[in-house]
Amino acid sequence: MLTFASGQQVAAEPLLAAFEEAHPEYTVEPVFIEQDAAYIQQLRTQLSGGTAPDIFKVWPGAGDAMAIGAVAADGLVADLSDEPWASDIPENLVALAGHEGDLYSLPATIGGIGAIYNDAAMDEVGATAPTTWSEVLQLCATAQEHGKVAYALGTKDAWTAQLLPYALTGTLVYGPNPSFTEDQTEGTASFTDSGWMEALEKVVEMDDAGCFNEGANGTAYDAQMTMVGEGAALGAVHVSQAVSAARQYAADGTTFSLAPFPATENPDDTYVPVAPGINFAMNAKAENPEAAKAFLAFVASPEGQALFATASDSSPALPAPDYEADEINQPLIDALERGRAAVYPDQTWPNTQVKEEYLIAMQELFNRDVTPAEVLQRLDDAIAS
Amino acid sequence: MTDQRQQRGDPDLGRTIATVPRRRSEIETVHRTDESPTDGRAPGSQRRRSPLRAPWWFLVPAVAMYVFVVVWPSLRGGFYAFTDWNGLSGDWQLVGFENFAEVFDDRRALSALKNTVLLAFVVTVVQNALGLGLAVALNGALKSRSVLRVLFFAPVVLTPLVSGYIWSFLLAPTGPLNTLLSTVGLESWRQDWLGNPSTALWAVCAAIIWQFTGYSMVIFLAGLQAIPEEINEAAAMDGAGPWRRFVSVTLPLINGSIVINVMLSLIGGLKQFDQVMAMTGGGPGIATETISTTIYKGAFSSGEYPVSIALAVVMTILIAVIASIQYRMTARKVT
Amino acid sequence: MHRYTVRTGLREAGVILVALVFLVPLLALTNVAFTPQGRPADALTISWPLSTDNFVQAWSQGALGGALVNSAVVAVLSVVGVVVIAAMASYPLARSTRRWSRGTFFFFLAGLLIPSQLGLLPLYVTMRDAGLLGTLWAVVLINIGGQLPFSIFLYTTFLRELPVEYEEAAVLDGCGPVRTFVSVVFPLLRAVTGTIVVLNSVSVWNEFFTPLLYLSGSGQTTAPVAIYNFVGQYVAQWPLVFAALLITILPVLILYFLLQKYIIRGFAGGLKG
Repeated sequence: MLTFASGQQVAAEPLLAAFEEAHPEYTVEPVFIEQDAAYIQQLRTQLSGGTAPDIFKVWPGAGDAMAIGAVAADGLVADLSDEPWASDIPENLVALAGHEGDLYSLPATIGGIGAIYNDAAMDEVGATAPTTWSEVLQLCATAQEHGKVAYALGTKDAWTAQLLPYALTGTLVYGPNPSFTEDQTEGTASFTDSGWMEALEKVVEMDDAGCFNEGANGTAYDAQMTMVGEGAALGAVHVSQAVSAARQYAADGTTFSLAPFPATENPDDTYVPVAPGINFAMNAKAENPEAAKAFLAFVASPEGQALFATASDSSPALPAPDYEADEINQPLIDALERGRAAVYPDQTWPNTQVKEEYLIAMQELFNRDVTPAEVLQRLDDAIAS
Repeated sequence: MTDQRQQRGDPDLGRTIATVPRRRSEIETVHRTDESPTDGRAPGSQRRRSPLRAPWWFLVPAVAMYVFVVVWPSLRGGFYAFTDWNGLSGDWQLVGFENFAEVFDDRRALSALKNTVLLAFVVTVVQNALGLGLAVALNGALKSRSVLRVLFFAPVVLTPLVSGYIWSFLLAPTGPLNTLLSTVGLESWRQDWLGNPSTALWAVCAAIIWQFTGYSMVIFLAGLQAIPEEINEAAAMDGAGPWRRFVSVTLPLINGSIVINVMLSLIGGLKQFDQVMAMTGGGPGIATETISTTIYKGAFSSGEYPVSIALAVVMTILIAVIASIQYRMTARKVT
Repeated sequence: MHRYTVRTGLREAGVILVALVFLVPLLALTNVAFTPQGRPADALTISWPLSTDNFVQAWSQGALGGALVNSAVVAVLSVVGVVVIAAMASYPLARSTRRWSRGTFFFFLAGLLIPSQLGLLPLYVTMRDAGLLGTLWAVVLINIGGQLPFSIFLYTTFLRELPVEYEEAAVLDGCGPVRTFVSVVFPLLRAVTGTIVVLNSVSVWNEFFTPLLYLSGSGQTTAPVAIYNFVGQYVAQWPLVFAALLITILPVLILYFLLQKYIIRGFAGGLKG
C-alpha cells in the first residue's frame, strides 16, 4: 500500500494504473489536489505533523514553499542518491532535484517556456513564428492590423506574469551563464547589472508596441488561453503545459505549435528555458519504503517516462526511446539536443522571497507603477536576505 | 428602567404574551453598558423572590470544545510568533519581539493593514444600508417576497472560488460590464476594474457587498418583523410621515439587529480573505492585499511562518479593539 | 396585514428590478452550467437547447453523490452538536448574575476574532495524536468548536430577553433545572435555533480546507473539495464546476426557504430594543 499525493489527476492516473499492473503486489492510495496553493498548504501541514504520504510532488530547486531544497533542508525527505536510476538523470536536472549535493527527488517530466501559437490564427494573418526580436515586433504590428492581439497576457493570475522575462533571460542571462544565481549569492553578479535589465526593457517595449491585450492585469489565465484558443490572439508566451487550456477553448481541429521566443537578432542565440515539470520525492518516514522506491524506479524507467510524458502533455526527463514528441514538445527536445536549454530562474533562487517580490513587481510593471530598474533593485534586495 | 408593555405575537405558544415590566431589571442585556448586575435597578421594581438555578455545568461541554479546538491551539500557535520556527520542522529559538518589529517594518504589511481597514468600513456601511433597505422593502405585503428573499440570500451560499470567477468574468477588460458601458455611451468609464490598482479594491468591495447583503437583510428582516403593528399605526395616526416614522420609531426598535449586523460585518471585513484571494489574489501588485492574505502567503507560500503568525496576532488585537469600540458605541445608544 | 396598494405594487416592481440586476452574476453561472458540451460557454447568452450534460458528468466524475452524503453527515452532526452545546452553555450565561458569567461570555465572543491560521498547525498535531485524522469526526469537532462563539452570542442575547416567569413557574411545579431547560426554555428558543441552523449550515457546508486536510487519504471527501478538484493548475473545467456547484448549493437554499419563517421569528424575539 503506497500513499501518494500530487496534482494533475488526469495525467497521474494512467501512471498509477500502469504501476499497479507492473507490480501487482502494491496498491496505490492517491490524493489529488489540483490547486498549487491548496496542495502546498496541505503538504506542509502534513509534513509538519509527520503524516505526509510516502510519495509526493515537490517543486525543483529552492524557490518555492514546497521546493525540494526547502523540504530537504529539514530532513523530511529520503536521500535517493544511491538509487539505480540516479545516474540516468540528465546533468542539467540533477542539481535542481537535490540539496547540497545529494539527490532527493526524481524529475519525472519536463516542460519548457516558449511561444505557443494558434496555427489557424497565424495562417489567417499570413505570419510565421518569429525567430528574431525585430520579427517579434513585426508580428505585433501585423496582428494589430488584423484586429488581433499578438501575445495574450493573463497577469491577473500572478504566476503567468513571470514567464515572459524567463523566456527572454534564457537567452540573455542563464543560457550563456547557467551559474548566474550562484554568482549572485557570491556577490559577483546582480539582477540590475545583467541581461535582466534588457529583458524587462524589452517587455516594456512590447507593451508600448501594442503586443499585448489591454488590461492584462485584469485578465485571468483562463481568459488569456481562451483568446489563444479562439484565435483572437495569435499566441502567448507560456509554459508548454498551458496548451491544454488553449485546446479546451478551441474549436475542434485547431492545432497549436510552440516556438522558442527570441531575444536577439540572431536565432542561434536563442535558448529555451526547460525545467522539470514535476518531481517526486519520498517521505523520509515513509510507511512503505520498498513500495515507494519501486514506484520511483518505475517512473524512471523508459516505459514509465514515455507513458507519463504523453499523459501529461510534457516531455520525459530521463531517456525514453519510445516517446514520440508532438509539435509542442519537439522544440524542447531539439533545444536540449543542441545544448540550447536554459533553467527556470525561480528554481535556482535560494529563498522564496525573491519570487514573491518578482510576481508583485511584474504586475506593478505592467501598470507602469514601477520601472525595470526598481523591479530589479527589489529582487536584488530579496535575494540577499 | 424600561417599562414598556409590549405585545408579542407568538403563535407557537398559541397566545399573545404581555411581557412583564420588571423582567429587565435583573438580567443584563446587550444594550446595557457593562455594569455590575445589581446596579441601576429602579427603586420600584420587584426583586426576584427565588434565584433561578441555571446549572453551571451546562457550560462544561462548550468550554471544553472551545478550548480544545480554538483557544489552546491558538495560544500555542501564537507562541510561535516569538520564535523563528519555519513551520516545517527543525530547531527554533526564541526571538522576542523581532517578528513583530518586522511586521511594522514591512511595506506590504502596512499597506495590507490600510486596505483591510478601508475595506471593512466601506463594506460594513454599504452592505448594512442596502440590507436594511431590502429588509424594509421585503417586509411589506409584496406578493413575491418569499421567493425574493431566497434570491437575495442565494449569493451568500456561493463559495468564493465561484464568485471570484464570476466577477473576474464580469469585470474583465473586454467583459460584460465594460461592453455595457460602451453600449450606453459611457465609453470613457471603461476600466480594467480588477487590474487597475485604483479601482481594484473598490471592485472587490462591490463583490463582497453583493455576496453578503442578503445576510444582513435576513437579520434586519427578523428585527423588523418583531415590531408590533400597533406601534407603527400609532405613529402614523400621530401624523408622522414614513421617513420620520422610520427614523424615530423603527430604527431604535431594531437596534439589536443593527448592533449584531455591524459587529459581524466589521469583523468579517477585517478578516476578509476568501473573496479577495479568489478575485485578485491580492493583486495587482499589492493593491488588494488584506491582512489575512498577507498572513496566508507568508505562512504557506513564501515560508515566512513566524512573521505571518506575528501578523495574525496583531490582526486579532486590532479587530478586538475595533470591535469593542463599536460595541460600546452602539450599545450605549439605548438606555 | 398591510393592504396591497398601488404604492405596494410599485414597491414590488422596484424590488424585482433590483433583484434582476442583483442576480445577473447568478444567471451567468446558470447559463454556463446548462451549456451543451462541445460548445464554447458564453456566460451571458442562453445556449439552446439547455443541456444537463455538465450536471451528469460533474456528478459522476466528481463522485458528487458520496461527497454530498459526507457533506450532509458532517453538516447535520456539526449543527446538531453546536445547537445543543451552545444552547446549554448560554443558559447559565444568560441567567447567572455573577461576575464570571459576563467574563465567560466575552471569552467566547473573543473566538469571533481569532484567525484560523493561528491554531492550524497545533490543532492538526493534536488531532493526529488523538487518532482522528482521516475521520469525519475531526471535521465535525472542529466545526462545532469553531461555530460556538457565534452561536453562543446569539443564544445568550436572545435568552436574556426571555422572561423568567416560565422557568419560575416550572420550578414551582417541581421541575429540576435540567427539566426546566429541556421542556420550557429550549422550546421557547426554537426560533433562534432556526437561525443558527441555517447560518451554521452555510458555513459548515462551504468549508474547504478543513475537510481537505483532515479527510485526506481516507477516500472520503465533501462537496466543496470535490468541486475544487475541477479547477486544475493549467486547465479549469468551469461548466463542470458550475454544474457541480448548483447541485451542491441547492440543499442549503431549500433549507433556507423552509426555515425562513423560523429565522425571522428567531431574531424577532431576541432583538427588540
